[in-house]
Amino acid sequence: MAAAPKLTHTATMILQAIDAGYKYGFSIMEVTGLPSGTVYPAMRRLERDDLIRSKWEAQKIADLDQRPPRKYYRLTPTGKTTLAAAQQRYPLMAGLIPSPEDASK
Amino acid sequence: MLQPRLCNTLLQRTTIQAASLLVPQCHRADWLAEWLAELRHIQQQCPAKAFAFSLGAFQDSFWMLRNHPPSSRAITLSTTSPGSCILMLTLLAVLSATASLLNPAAQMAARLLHSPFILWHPFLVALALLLVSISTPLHVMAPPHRSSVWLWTFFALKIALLAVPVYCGTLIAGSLFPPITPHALLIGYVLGFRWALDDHRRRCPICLRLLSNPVTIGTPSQTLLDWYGTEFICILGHGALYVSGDQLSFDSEQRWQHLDHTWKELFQRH
Repeated sequence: MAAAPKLTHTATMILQAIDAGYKYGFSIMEVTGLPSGTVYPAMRRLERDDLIRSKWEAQKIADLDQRPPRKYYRLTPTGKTTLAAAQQRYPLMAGLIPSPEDASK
Repeated sequence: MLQPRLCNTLLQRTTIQAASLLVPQCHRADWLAEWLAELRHIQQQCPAKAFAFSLGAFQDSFWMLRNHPPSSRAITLSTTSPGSCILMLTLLAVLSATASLLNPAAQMAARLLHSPFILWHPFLVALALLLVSISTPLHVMAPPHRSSVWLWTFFALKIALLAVPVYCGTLIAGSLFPPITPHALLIGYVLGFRWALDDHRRRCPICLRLLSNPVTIGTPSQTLLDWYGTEFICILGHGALYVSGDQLSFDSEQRWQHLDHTWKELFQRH
């Protein structure tokens, strides 16, 4: 089995945010404090490395809210394994990013 | 008058759309849809952050450009072989001539230019050649053991074909701002002649194909100990060109190393 890729601090934060339930670009920017020019290229890299996967929201749901559909991101099984390995490298990372429910309280 | 909020929205959308031009076409629609959808949400939730958000699109589009190069191109314009170079320059000449003929303002500029133009145009060409000869050495490699007629014919043809887009381009530019016409023509000729000469120096003197596979030799920090520069090879195996990286030394002229038939085997698959 191939070794899990080593992630940078930024990539780990983004992966952690997606795992915590922040599923689209702007929410990840908000919770990590990173600018869009960092977040989006990092997410492209993570998707290229098969650590996350993107999916467009159904048009029907977006139409009900009268807004354009959003692209949502989720972790792949490889992404989960890699994040677990990265959390051992950056043990304080998990505490930095609250879940969306905790954040809204 | 446009509302400031509408202006901001337009500016942010235009910024993202401008960045999208860098994204390879096969990914552009998806990329643009994602950025515009997010922008719409940000404009509604926190408009103050929308412009900073839209500027980040350039970084993302550069990443897409670097990591998703266009997989296939229907038409590849290349100047590698002498035939394709002449074809491309002819195409450029025809397009620029058509554009200037279809542009009434450019025709007007041509009519205004024509009476004194006959007199000073040869002078302008001579001045451009003089400026090129000052700015770069005129040395061009001659083919070993054979006539260089084809080499110079190709060079003359390139110059002649380049003069057309330079002249027509200047007329089009001059129609917008007439006082710049003579200066633009001179600058155009200098740049065109310089390109023709540089292009000629990077060609194999035997088959006239552009040399390829550049390899850096030596290190700039050890100029006293060793030669440094770049080696190019002819893909058909006719020879190698050594271009010095040091423009000030006695050895700054480029050298052509002819490869004899014993090297043929190495280039056989081409």
